[in-house]
Amino acid sequence: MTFVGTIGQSALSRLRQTTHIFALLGSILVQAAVPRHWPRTTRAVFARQVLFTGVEALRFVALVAFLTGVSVVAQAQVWLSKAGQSGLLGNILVAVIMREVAPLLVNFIVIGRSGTAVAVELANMKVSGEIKVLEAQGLDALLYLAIPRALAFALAIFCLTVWFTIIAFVSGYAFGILFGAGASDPLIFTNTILKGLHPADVYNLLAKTLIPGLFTAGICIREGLSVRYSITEVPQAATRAVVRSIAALFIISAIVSVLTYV
Amino acid sequence: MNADNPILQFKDVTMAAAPLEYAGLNQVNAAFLPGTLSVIRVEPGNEVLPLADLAQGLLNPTEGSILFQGEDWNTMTAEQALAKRAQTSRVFDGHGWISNLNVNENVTLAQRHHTARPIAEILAEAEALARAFGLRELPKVRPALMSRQDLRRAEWIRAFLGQPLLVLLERPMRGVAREHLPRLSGAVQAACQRKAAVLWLTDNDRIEQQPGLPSAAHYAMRGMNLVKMA
Repeated sequence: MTFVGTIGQSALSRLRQTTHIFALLGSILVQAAVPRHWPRTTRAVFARQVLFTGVEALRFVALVAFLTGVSVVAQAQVWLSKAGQSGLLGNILVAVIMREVAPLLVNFIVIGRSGTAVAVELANMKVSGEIKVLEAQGLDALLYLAIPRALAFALAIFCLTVWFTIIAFVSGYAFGILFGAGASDPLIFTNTILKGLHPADVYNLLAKTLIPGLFTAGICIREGLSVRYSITEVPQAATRAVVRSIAALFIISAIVSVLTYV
Repeated sequence: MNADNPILQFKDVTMAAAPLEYAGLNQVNAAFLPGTLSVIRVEPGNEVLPLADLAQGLLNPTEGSILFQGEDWNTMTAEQALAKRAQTSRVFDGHGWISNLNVNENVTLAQRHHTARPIAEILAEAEALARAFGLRELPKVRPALMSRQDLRRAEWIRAFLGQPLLVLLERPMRGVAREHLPRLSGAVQAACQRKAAVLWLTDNDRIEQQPGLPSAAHYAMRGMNLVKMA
């Protein structure tokens, strides 16, 4: 094949993958809106996935948020007070933590903790014939496996990002006080943050958590189920799932930022 | 349900072999009536057949058609096929478990998914079946933590739970001590009495002489052909 042909084939392959992800997510959202597609077994899978992806990640996310708060918020307080620009604190913290750092880091954590787990779990199920076992019992793999996982990812990422933001602000405020910078009254600090918050930030937060959450789940489900015969394909599928989820995360994040703030 | 209308019917079914998965079929014609047991003897070396997958509409035949309750699997929508499959049950020839669910969750999965029966009622029926099959209780561990024999008997529980219309038993005695055969025969007999059709694929000719089994239609695989025995 010619060099140009190879490039074209690669581009077409990527286009097909992207189209497939969009089709999968479209099916998930449409089917999820039908109440009869939520029998108690599917609800149980959803609850279990929220537990694994959201609740069990709370402590680790809190640790990362605490350290981020110490390094970012405390520094911002120190430097802005030295520069006599403490009034900008709210705007800067909202711009850095809430708009960018919190959604990105939480998405990374979920991709690493749960995205890989879902890709490996589904790949193993496919290789060992468990998808057929489900279908033989009249369970639709999309309804039983994909819908609850995708929605649980989106919900968990949103909640974890809110959790991350609160902890980062609290820890940053506490360390700012410890180093003698910033407002000592927590109400003044809270007020500064709230003043820096605009409706667009809420849309931005929703878009940067719910959309990447759905895409991460869709990509990991697709890569997991793309395995065909051999157990050796499983780690390859997991690697592809992580790389593509991260790529999708940055693309979505950039698009949302441009659409929200430019 | 009319006793003369087959629950499952194969009409001129031909299926190409998939060398790594199953042996092929050629021009298979058979009707499985309510309340009947059909024993199909498989040939050594060709034990794994696509019959159960075809019977549940999981595979499309290369030629011919398969009717479940008079409807061709091929003409049903995906949703209709899922609803029909919920009326069937199966002991799988290969791996038949969802690894990340406990055995009790696996056994009751289809009933919890398709019916509104209270969980306690489903569990009570499963516990009763577990005891009937010689298990102390319904196992509550991951499938990987159970012995092959106990796991096979747990598959029997799933196959007879919820009174399915069509019970597919793919070599259900594989890995199970012969002393448990009367327990399975009893469940087959009870299923036939309530007008289910039971297909029992076996590679063991002694099973056919088991007392307590209802009178059966006997078939045997000869190469790719399904032959009805006298």
